[in-house]
Amino acid sequence: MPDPDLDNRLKEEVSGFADELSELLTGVFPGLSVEFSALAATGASTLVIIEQMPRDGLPLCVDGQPLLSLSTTYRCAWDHAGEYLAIQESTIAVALIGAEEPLFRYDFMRTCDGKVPCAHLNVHGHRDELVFALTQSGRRQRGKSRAYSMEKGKIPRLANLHLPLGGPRFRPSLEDVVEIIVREFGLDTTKDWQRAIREGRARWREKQLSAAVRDDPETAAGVLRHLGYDVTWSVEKAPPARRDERVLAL
Amino acid sequence: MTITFLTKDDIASRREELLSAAGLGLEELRSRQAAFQLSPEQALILKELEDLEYLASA
Repeated sequence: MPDPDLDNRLKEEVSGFADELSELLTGVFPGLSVEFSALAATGASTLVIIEQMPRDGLPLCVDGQPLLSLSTTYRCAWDHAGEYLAIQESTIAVALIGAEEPLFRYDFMRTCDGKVPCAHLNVHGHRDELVFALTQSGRRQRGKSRAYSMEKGKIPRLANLHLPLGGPRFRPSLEDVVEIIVREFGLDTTKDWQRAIREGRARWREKQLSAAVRDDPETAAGVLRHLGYDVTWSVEKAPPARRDERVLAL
Repeated sequence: MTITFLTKDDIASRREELLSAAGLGLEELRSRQAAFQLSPEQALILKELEDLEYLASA
């Protein structure tokens, strides 16, 4: 049976998250009409997909002419206590306007098989030496599946390489990607675009820092004690152990 | 913004519509995507199909 209170909290969380994304993008790019849509399904869990509209990407301009498109998708899970909306997967892709294949994309998968980094960058380009090296990979780890693909006639590409980005907590934010494409491609911006970036980045990094402290509270407490804070564990039960599945994740 | 809640039936029926529009099965779409051989329309269809797969796992 649907719980109206839980549904309302979910709507608030999703709207709040989408508002933050919209504020960033409209705060940086002039004349951009940004809307986010959300699809949700409830079963044993509640899953939500938040995506910008139009779905094929937002046009980013140089001197008023579209040059790039930016696509963002966030797949989230709503915990049963209705306390937080956790990002399970995200994709930030930048493409040449009108092109299907992105130039590069930043992916995150909370649940990862360890074969590729949970947060990674794929660069879609060409480099003969790299392709040669990939074709000569040892028949183990990813090289094993790549050898199998080559036997089926699939030549490896630069885009098949998953470059790690710091694990689940230290991966770049949408603000980082937006700032770097603005700077590298000289995109049109609002006058106050850097403020929008700073505000969004501060929100993101505070959340990630909080999560990192929860992953390894003893290290965080030690650093605070070193800085002069009085930090003690005052609850009767044992303090939480370090979450190695997060701290040590590729 | 609005949140659209989908039931299992909604997901199944939309999935059928999309596969019919694509004229290809999900695995074939995925395989062509891996080789960057999808049209923009097919790419959008596959994206929506993958979204539905995710929501169906709720």
